[in-house]
Amino acid sequence: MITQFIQDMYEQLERELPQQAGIQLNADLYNIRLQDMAVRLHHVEMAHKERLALLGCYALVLLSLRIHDQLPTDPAAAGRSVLDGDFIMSFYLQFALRHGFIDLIAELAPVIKQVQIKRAERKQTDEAHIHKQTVKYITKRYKKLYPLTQTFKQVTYDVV
Amino acid sequence: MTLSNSSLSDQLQISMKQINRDLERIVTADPDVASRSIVRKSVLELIRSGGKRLRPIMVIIGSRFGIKPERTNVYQLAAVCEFIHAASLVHDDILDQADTRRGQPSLHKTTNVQTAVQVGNYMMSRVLELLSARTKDRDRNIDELASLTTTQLCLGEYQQMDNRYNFDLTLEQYWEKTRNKTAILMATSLHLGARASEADEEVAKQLYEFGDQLGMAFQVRDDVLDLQQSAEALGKPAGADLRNGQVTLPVLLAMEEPAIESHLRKLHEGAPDQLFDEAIKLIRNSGAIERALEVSHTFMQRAWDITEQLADYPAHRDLQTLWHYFEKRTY
Repeated sequence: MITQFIQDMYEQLERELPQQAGIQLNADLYNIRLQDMAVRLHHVEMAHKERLALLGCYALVLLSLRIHDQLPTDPAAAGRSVLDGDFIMSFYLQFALRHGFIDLIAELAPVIKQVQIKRAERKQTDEAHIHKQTVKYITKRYKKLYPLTQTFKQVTYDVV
Repeated sequence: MTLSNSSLSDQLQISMKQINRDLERIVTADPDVASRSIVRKSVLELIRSGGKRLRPIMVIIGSRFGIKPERTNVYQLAAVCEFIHAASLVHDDILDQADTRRGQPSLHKTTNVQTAVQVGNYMMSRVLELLSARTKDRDRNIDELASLTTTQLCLGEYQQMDNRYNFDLTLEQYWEKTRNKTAILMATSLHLGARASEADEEVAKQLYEFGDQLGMAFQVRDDVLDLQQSAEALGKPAGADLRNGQVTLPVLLAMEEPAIESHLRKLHEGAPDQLFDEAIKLIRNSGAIERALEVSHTFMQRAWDITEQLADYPAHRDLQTLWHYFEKRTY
């Protein structure tokens, strides 16, 4: 079910992605953070399309940060990756605004920024804070979070 | 090409000092950036390396058409527009593998690609943090954020990157790339200023159109300069865009002559310099430069017409001052 949910989310992103960029999102169905977020979203009462959009926002942020963190050494290829990362981040903003999540942009901007500062300073960092902040946002926005299962807590422990 | 802009700001009575101070404050007031951080140092160096500050000037002029001109929020927006522009230049230099910017080594040369990418990213995220944190007037915030996203700018870069040495490029594709890469942010700057000062929506649209026309003229002229001027004047090899595979308006116009077209089609990455030198000479002698300038002039004329349509507003004179500044650059 979760894998299908992630698959649906990628399909939605593909549909909304401007074609001129020629970007194809490689669906990372087994990304542990994405899976954790998908599970969490399934425990929250909201319309399915909102769930898809929120997971899409999260996936785009992760993807952009990863592209910029793993640049190829070849200068031309690195240039292309820089552009891909920029494009994905700007698409995240458009996508979030289009689906009514300006508050998410406000919540995530400081933590995304902190990851980027650390990376510029060559300090160890990962996306755990972004994960936590997204969860915090979802909890605050929907307040009707169902009790978490034991399995779910375990997944959370592993990734966060 | 760097032109001193002090006379423009003086004529428009816009305080460059305040613009620069607001720009610096975006990073110096950020509690997440340590005073000795490479991020702070890099951003301040970028800001202090100069630049024409055309976008913040446009935001401020745009605001003069509204009922609340030049308030603090307008200056903040002005700084934000310039910050986005500066961030895009950092990444542009990596994309173009450009070693210098404004006569100084590019940021990825003074640091490294990884650091420069993250500094550019930081600048964009900082802007988002500031804009999205404002709680007043949510709808306007959404509009501002939406218009400041750089999707179109990125699409322009893709279009440029994917069409290197593509001598089948159509004029339509060229205009789309030019609009995405250059004109949209100029148009947006004027529009945002107008909206921030609560100008009439119709006026804001006209200002957007004015910025678009000016931006298109500006880019065409830039493309012409690349082919027209000497290496000494440009500070880079003449025809650097063509050598880099960029098919610009003068190239497209020159290609209407079959002999030139067949010569240009021989160009590719790694083609000998001599082939490029000959191509540049052929383009210069084809009349394409003059025709491209005419096109640029047409854009300028349309922009002027808009200033006349706005003659009821005293600020239309500021628009005309800006127009004259661009006109000097375009002719």
